[in-house]
Amino acid sequence: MRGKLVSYTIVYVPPLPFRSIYAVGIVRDERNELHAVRIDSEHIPVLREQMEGEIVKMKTDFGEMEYFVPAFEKKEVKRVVLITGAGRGIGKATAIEFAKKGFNVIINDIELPDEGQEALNIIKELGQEAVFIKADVSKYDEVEKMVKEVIEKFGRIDVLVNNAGINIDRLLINMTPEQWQKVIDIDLTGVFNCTRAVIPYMISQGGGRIINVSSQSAFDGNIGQANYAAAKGGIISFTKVVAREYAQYNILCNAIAPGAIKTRLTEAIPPGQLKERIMRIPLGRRAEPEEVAKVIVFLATDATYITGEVIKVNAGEYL
Amino acid sequence: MPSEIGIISYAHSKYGVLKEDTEELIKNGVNECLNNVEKGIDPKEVDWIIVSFVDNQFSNLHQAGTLAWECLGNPDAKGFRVEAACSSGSLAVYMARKMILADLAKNVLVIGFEKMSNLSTETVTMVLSRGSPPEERKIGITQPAAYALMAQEYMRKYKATEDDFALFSVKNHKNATKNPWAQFHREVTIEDVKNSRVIAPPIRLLHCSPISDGMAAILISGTPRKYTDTPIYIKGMGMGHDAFSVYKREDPAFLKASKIAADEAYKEADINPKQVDIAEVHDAFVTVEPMCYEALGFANKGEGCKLIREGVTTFDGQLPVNVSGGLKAKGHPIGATGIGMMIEIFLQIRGQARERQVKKNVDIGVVENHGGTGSVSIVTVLSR
Repeated sequence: MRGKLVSYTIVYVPPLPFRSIYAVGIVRDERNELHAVRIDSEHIPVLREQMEGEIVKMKTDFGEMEYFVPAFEKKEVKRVVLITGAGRGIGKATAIEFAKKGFNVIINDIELPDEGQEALNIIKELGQEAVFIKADVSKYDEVEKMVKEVIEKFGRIDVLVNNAGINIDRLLINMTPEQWQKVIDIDLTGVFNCTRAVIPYMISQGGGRIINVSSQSAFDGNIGQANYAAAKGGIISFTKVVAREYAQYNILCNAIAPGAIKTRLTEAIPPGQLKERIMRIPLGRRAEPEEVAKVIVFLATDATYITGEVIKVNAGEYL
Repeated sequence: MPSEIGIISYAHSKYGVLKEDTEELIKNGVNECLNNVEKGIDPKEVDWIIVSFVDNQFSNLHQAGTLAWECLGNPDAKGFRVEAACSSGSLAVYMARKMILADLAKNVLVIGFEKMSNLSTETVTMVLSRGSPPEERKIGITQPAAYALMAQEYMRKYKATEDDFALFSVKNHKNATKNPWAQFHREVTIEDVKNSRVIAPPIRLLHCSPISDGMAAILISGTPRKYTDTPIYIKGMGMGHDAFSVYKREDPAFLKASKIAADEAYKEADINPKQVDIAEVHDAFVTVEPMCYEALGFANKGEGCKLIREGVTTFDGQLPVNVSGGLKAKGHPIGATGIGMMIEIFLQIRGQARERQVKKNVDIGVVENHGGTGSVSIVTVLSR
């Protein structure tokens, strides 16, 4: 049965047994009768008074309910992804994969290298909007400014990929406090800064996805990476907290832990050591950045029932 | 005669997070109420005790009437509990008055309480949604959401703004700073309200009454002058209903039940709204306060916000409303609320409200106490 939405509100504090936000509204049907209806949170961004839609009865875990499903075409809503450290490597590949899925893409980095420019061009050729925003993720004011810029330009942020990271590897005994702090600031505090800045917008738009790029180093105690491993391990704990805190707002937060990927990080490994490492990988090769990017895109799109999880993308190197 | 029924004594706890359990609250309320009677009263003169509280899950109690009866100390008295969601307190008084009018009682002790702070916010929200009709509850329409739908209709029809609604929070918080019983003693600004967390648009956290513990009790007598030289008379009471579901109401932006109750109460008291000097209204969510003004006849439909914009209902205004701080800032221990509102008017008419005593002369005061989202309402007219 078709109907028009007379008014609606969003229930940001759901009562038990409901756990995550949703909208409720009053709908007038074709026979001029009024219905109290529930509206899924995925429709919150497009809701407006007098919009048309279908009134449908749905069976849920909490009994049968009348739902209002707005009659709009999904393509009307262009989803937006912000990827930090997307100038090259996994970030760049992820940006292109998202564009293939129809997302508008914001590439963030501290500079735009040729590879980043190439990604911008590819995304535009794919018919999506792509912009570069320069910001240092370790500085909250820069992050806040970047997020505001995204909202001003696109009006929403559906997905945040916390990918920015550096490594300064050396044995602990040779590591200066500055080297420790710099990695922590970018790799861990950067994740906090970006997540903190986007959460209010995701709450108000009815949900979102956050994917944090951790590392196999979080698990395997890789010698020379005390700072990097601490940051990447911290990301995993952070991911679990965010998942629990914001599930009620339909914000899903997951992490991936890549192994040996063809990026600057593994290119820097001396050839002999790299070969040795590859021999330890059951699949016997490094991954292309695109193979990681596809997992990130999966978590941001089709993975509707996963949160607080860490997916190892390492071909069995560490199980 | 209705005009002879009066309040002769009261007891009132602080509202907020209290360490006392329900049993202690009842015991304290009954004892204090009996002890506060100026000329004294023998418990044997109290024939009935009526208890008001809303949910067993809050108070962890059944047979509150029996418990209160035990505290009273009159084996011949009888006790029972009433419930009408947020208007339970007023319903207890309404019943007491009807019993005295029907000559079924001479003196009735009415005690209301709620102990809400034991539960988490999510559980409190779930318990409170029991005050909504099953068809709304089933799809998850909470009390804030239902009030939000009413507020949206009001904004759409009458062009009320976020700033207008914020003014009610600002006023009520300011008033509460003078009330030692109030849960909050801090002022808020329009910006504070507009920046507070969204609960169900347009309702924000600083539009909402808090989760409160508290107790309020009054002693009502058919022969009040026997017990005090300064009784406050219950001149009129009315009760009304509207559709249980907001969406089934003829006008979701109007409190029809409160209008019915007010008309009945005014008629019984033989007054008109212009004679009212002071009022306490049910601002469980402040977005409803202008609707209360309109239902009580203080303003025309759609013009409730004008009264706050022009300062009419502020502490120094021509018609002060919610000088106690209202439910918003004084607190809202549901079963106690209506009785607590009456105590505020009782004190204001007696000139005993201390720091929060309004400057103007107060002869007639009104209490509007609605339940659910306005599906039931009780209005009381008090005067000297």
